[in-house]
Amino acid sequence: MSLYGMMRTSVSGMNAQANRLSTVADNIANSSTAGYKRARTDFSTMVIPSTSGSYTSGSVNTTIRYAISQQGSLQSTTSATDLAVNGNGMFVVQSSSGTPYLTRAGAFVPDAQGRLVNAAGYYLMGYSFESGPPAAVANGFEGLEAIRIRQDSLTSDPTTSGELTANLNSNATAVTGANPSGNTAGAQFTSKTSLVVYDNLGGEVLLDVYFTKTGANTWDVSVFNKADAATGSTPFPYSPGTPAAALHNSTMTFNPATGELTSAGQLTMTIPNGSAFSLDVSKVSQLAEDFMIFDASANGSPPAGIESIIIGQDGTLSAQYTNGAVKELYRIPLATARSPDMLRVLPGNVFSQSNESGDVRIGFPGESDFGKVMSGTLEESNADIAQELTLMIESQRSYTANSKVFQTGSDLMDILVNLKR
Amino acid sequence: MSLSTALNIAQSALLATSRQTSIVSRNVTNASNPDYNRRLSMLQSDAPGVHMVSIQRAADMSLFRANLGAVSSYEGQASLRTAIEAMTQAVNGIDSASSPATAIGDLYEALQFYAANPSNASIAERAIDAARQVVRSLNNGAAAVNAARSQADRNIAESVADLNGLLAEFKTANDAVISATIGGRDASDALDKRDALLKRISEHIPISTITRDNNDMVITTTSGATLFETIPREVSFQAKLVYGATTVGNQVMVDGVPLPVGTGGDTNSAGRIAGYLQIRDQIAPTFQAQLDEIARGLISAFAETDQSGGALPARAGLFTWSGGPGLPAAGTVSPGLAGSISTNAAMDSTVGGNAFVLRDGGANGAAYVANTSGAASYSALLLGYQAKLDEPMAFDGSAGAGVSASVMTYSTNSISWLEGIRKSADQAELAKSALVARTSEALSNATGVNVDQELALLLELEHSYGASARLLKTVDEMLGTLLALAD
Repeated sequence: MSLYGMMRTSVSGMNAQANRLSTVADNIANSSTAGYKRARTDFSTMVIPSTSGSYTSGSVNTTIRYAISQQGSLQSTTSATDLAVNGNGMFVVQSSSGTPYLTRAGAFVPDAQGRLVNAAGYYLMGYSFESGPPAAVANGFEGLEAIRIRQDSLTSDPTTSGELTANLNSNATAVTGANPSGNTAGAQFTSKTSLVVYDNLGGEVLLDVYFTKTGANTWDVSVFNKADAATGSTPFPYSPGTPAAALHNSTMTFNPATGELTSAGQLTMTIPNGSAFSLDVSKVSQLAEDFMIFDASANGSPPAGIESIIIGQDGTLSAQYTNGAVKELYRIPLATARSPDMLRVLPGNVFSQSNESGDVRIGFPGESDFGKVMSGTLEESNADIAQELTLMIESQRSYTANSKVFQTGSDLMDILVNLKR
Repeated sequence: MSLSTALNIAQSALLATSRQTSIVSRNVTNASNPDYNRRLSMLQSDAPGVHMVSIQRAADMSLFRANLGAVSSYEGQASLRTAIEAMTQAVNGIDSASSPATAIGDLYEALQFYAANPSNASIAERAIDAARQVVRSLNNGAAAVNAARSQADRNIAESVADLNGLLAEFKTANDAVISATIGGRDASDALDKRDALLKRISEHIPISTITRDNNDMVITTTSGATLFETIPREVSFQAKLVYGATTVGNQVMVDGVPLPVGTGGDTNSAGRIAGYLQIRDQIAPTFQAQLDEIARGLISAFAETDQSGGALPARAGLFTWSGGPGLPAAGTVSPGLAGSISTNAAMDSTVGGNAFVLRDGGANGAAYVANTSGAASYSALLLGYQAKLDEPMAFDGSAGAGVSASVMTYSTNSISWLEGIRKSADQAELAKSALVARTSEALSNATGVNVDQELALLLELEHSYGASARLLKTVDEMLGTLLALAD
């Protein structure tokens, strides 16, 4: 029994080493696969009860484990949609049939429908900004959808607020005749500036802002739509020719001691075919210096298509439009499990929840231990050829030793059989 | 894991070094490009094994603004000086040879000679000829002044068209800067282009700039009118084809606000457009008024008075004008007089007159004849005219060449006035061009490429590349050793 047992034990040893060589082969084959996690062969003993007089050899058990939680080195690339995680989290992807998986393989490219698909054909998932900034569902895949960047749509934002900072010349002579607030032909003004704002459809509206000194420390401010201006040498009267043509009319008063504005600091008006617009003039001063503009800005943007995709370290995927506007589209979550190394490994560098791994947790990059999303970077395989080669040599020697044990057993059997002539 | 990682890191180091080298080569290539700002390559390590090369562009906004201001002042001064010189040349000729003052001096001498020989017909003709010369000088001067104004007007129209084109180009450049800034791409080339456009815009008009979010730029004139904000504003100007003495040129409107004009020979006009506006609306019209005053002085100096004892009004004598035979209103400028002054047909033999009428009087009828006896030796009237040329008379102060002087002195005053402006314009141009050179040099020192520095950096990069390559080779050898073991 014991000779046979010894031979069987060495066979199990050879099998175990063959298993280890298989994982080495896998690791070397995938040493350049982005997001690949090396397989490790762990052994355990199997002992057969024996008495003091007779020893029965057992065998060796093989367990394959994956170094999923071990970080691979990061390699920079030139594509913004190449993603890597620097931390413990994993991307949530779904197969074409819609089953969600986790992966570290982040070589995503947009497909024909604008979905981001990786080399193994899995689609990246995220939370949409459609109904406000998203919140992650901690323990499930609800609310996640395949990220889809629609290249065929335009977007625009109407202007709602703006700022104008200027100095009005306190030494200017007051206008005694008609001023722009009356909107009559030949109206006189002291200073003028203009500002581009956007209506509801993203059309450019040019606002003419007139400042007219009417008395000491008192100025009249009128805002008109440039498109209504009369043709000819003077823009007045703006159509439709009544004082109602002015979008805004008010009086600004200044503190004679400091030159600071004492009247209301917001000029409110409604942009033609646009939304309510509030122009902040609270920093306008009146000092003995020429008319000067320090800041003139308004929010809003004209219609534009997507020019490029920007992915921040916090996982926010934003579209940059041709007009320069940036809009947040999705937030990419990261997931991990209680025991990431025990996740089930499936083809295509994906992992799924198993009984041993515990529940999957989902959160945003930067939170707890999920790590950061790195755009323009790929995670290299964490298998190292040098390590695999040394393992291979070790396995080879082990295998040979096992085969020697088997051969010895076989030789002894031979002797035993030859006892009877 | 460690050997592969070492390989990866060495490889990314090679990539980073080669990108830095490409930036050095860009700098060296553009070493002589005045619109190029030096790029600095900044190496940063974001995560294990990842090296990022970020590009920064050397910039000094305050020096750049100072340079823009200097360029505007210089261009305004240069355009003014060129126009004044051209006008002086056209009106006064070289060394004032064809100026009214020289012609009046000649006339004075011819009169003296005529008074000494009142019966000599050819000497009489010479006096009339000198008078024709004076008329020609004034007529040509008036025409030259109008030509200078219409030339300035055409130059303004060209400058405005150029400026509108530059502003349209600026929109493209500005959009490129914004888009690159938001996209996190290298905006340096777009910024270079935008700065070059700003320099060209400041040649036409003095500007100040405001930078908003995302590197978006707003341009206003130094007087506060908006030139560019998201979109270019319209700079409008209606050119006039022909200029007469009373023509008033149109203003240049920037976004509906008229562009202010400077004053003086060492002008405070900045930018070409303001320089041309100043010559068109201030210097040329003032000089025009002086020519008109000289013409008025001559007409009144040679006026014929009633000799019959009646109270007939004084009439135009040797010199008459389009409003003759009456005299132009005393003490005030009659616009266009220098252009319409002419010799009296009654005395000008080329149009059938008689040169002796100047000696005897009577171009305006018998009542104005002074030499009633018809004596061939009569010279009292001629001596009277000559004395009047020396006699102080009242001139309009608004013409800027004095209020009381003789016609001869006034005409030389006028030359001095123009020469004074030309000289101060010339000196100011020198000073302003020196300022442009200084600010450009300071800007170039701060932002330009220093080839020595770049080459020193290149040496460093070469070493670092060599070290990375050496690392690759060593790791390769180590793996080779391992593979040999597995054989």
